[in-house]
Amino acid sequence: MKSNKKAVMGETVFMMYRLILITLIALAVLGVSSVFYSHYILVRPAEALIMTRQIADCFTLEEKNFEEVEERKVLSFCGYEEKEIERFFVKVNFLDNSGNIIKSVYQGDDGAMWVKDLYEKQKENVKSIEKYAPGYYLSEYPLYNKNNGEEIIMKVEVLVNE
Amino acid sequence: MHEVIIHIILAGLILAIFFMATSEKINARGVRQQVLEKQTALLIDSAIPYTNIEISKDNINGIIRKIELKDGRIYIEIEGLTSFNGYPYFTKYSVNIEETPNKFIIKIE
Repeated sequence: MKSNKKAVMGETVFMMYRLILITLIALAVLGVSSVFYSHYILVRPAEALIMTRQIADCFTLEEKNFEEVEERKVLSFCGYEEKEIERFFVKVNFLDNSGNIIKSVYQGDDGAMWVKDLYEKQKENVKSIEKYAPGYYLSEYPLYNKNNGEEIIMKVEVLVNE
Repeated sequence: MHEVIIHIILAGLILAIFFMATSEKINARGVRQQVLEKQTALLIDSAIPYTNIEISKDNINGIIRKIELKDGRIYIEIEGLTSFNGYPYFTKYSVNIEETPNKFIIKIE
């Protein structure tokens, strides 16, 4: 009777061991296939383009004076709240006709530019990291200096992180 | 013999549970939800004041049950698939959602 009990116990332990093994194999196989087949749609470059235009509109259509912007607060100056712009780094350079910088303003973590450069260098070698790359857009817009009526150039650079 | 059958049934159950969990993640419903959330977020990002974005409940991406805006993110529930992460939007204007019997209206003011 005793040996029979032991045999049943042994079989139960063996069954548990098998089930755990099957669970682990299922987890590994289906986990890998889930990562492989999941589809990611990258919209950060589009977001960077939209933000570039919004910043340009802020100084052109909305006619805000660029000379009133604090050096590190360009997005707040254009009306964005802190929690919405955590993913962004925006830099705006105002240049005269000779290409000299009249004023330079920015907001966000400028370390993100270093991350972008790293992605640019590595994307040739590792295609799979492309979906993690930050969105980036750079554009120039003409602008009138309200103080002296001269035409200047506004160079807007936007980077969007994950 | 009985033990083998129990083994097979249990193993089959485990595989079925994992298969369902995986298919939930990779099926078209999840992709369509992602598409709709990102499209709508981009529309909000680029909208000017007094714009109304109308989204039909019987949408090309599936039947939309709920659209929610919370902490700067948009969450869209398609065919019972709840959105846990949503997608962030940015706008300097006020955004509100109005629900009618057959569509959602996102108002940017």
